[in-house]
Amino acid sequence: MLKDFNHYLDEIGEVGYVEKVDRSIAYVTGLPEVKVGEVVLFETGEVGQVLALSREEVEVLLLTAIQVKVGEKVARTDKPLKVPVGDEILGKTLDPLGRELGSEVFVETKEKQIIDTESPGIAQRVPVTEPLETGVTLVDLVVPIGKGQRELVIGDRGTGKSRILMQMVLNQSRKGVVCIYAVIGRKLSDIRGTERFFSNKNIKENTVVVASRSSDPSGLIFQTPYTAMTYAEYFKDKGMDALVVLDDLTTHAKYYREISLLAKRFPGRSSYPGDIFYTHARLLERAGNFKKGSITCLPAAESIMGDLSGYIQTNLMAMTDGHVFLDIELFDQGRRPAVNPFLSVTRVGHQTQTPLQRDVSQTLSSFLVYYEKMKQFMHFGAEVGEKVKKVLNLGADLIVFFNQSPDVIIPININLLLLAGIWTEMWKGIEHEVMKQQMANLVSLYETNKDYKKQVDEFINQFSDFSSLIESMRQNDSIIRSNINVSKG
Amino acid sequence: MYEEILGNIRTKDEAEKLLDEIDLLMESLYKDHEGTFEETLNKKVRNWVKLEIEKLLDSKKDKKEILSKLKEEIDGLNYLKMNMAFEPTSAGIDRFFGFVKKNIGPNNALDISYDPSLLGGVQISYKGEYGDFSLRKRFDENYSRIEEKIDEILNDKRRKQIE
Repeated sequence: MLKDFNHYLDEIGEVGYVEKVDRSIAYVTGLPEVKVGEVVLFETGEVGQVLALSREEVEVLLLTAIQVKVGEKVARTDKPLKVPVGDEILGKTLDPLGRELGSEVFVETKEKQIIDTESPGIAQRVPVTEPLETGVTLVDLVVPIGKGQRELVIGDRGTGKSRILMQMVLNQSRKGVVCIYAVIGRKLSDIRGTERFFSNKNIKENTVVVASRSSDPSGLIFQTPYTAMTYAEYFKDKGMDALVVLDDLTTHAKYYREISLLAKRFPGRSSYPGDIFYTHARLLERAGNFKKGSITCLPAAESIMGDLSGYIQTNLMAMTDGHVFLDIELFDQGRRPAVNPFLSVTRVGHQTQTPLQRDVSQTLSSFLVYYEKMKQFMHFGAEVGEKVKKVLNLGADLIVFFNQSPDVIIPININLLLLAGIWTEMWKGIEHEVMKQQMANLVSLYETNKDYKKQVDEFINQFSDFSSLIESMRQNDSIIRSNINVSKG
Repeated sequence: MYEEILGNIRTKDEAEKLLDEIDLLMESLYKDHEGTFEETLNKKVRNWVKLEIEKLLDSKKDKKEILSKLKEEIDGLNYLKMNMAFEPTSAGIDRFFGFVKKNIGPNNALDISYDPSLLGGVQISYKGEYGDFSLRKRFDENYSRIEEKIDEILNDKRRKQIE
């Protein structure tokens, strides 16, 4: 997308010389009219972005991998960092500059958009009213997300953050939402794994992967989430709904810390620079529900030993509208997804739910608290009464119900129906494996048989509270029982 | 105080050479037997440098302070970078330097580099401002026109040969 070095040198008539290079930062003299944020071009073809200016020197963040040498000429471009945008990017894996990953070729599009923009003001925003179905039972029922919400997904390393995020992308892209998945500073094998997941599930045409490898320059890795958000904004401006996943922002913060320390910025808490909150907040503020479209943002953050009080983690919690916490203890107990419903929060998700869903959510939350208390009580070896036994059995059934394979997505209405079935003790005395299989049969039937889907949807939509749904199921449970062993319609 | 000595520096190479000589003098300040300051000043630096430094030292100020200040002044010189297709003679450098002194002012010198691929002319940069006045650029700009003209001439010749 950039023209030849000599072209800019002649056009702008300003030159700079590299005086010093400190890893990913080059110090340049000259370039009298250069501006902060402007892209500069080095004689040997490397690209950089102006980070700061002093009276004597220009601080340039290098965005390309090749080493810049002292004495090299630098030219201004008089342009901020832009990436090519258009429908042509769909289905591609791009680097943060808009080139196909691992190549020097830019995607050919008609338009280009600035990466670092101001977030839209309040006048352009509207309240979050529509739900964003994730296909993950526990999330949809207990911590629901709305379109335009920013929901942090937080958990220790290896607790399935990326898995749950990909599951959400799978469900949304099947519904026609454009999904942008940013993989920040990860191994190439992880990036290819994400790509493979999307192509195996046939959703590549609706997704864009913006990826930077851990071997890329810090400056390039730093730009990854901004590029992903720019792509989301392009689709939002077309009036579409976009989902952007930022995997993950703790890694992003670490790279920004590296850059800031190299640039001799004053270190703050945990050596992060003072503007780390601003750096993330100005990114996440670009998401939201707008008059024209929506950008739902799901940033990921890594916690250490289940500690949610880390600096970056608390910052991100403060700037998002809730978080889904993946608990290492639950993960070790074999729960998949390992979402901790007690420590997860959704600030705007409930307002997008139907009255029935809201009631189910509240009932489930309070029941799960009660179930946990009962379980703890049982540790003392107390004798089990009938009521307690019932609670424990229902709780155990619910845990099985919530267990879900990462490549399975379950629509909300069939979830509600299955939950009502569990609540009415339809699977009482039946082995959990059998119960899970029968549930899978019903989900499969719902997805493949239009008549059954219509029947379930109509049945669920007539209730506005959970108790009337349960009551109705107790009277007539044929909607489940007559189809329980049918695997496909 | 330093104008005269700075006024003799025409190019960056000359500035670097002078800095080396000042370094030698500064090292010799603490020597007692061999390589004393006087010995170095008499034997190891150029004559005009010796005379200028002696003039500076007349002010009876601390030698180290004077030499350090001189180094600072030399480091603070601005350079007009000239990338040329040929290596200029000393007389040529004098002419360029005279032009710089007259048009830009004191405390400026030349930083001349040689690049035969320019074919002719010069690329100039000063305090970040850049201008390409090389023949190569002119040639590149007019390449398509020149190519057409050459084709035309060749075709004419061929036609005449056939006739």
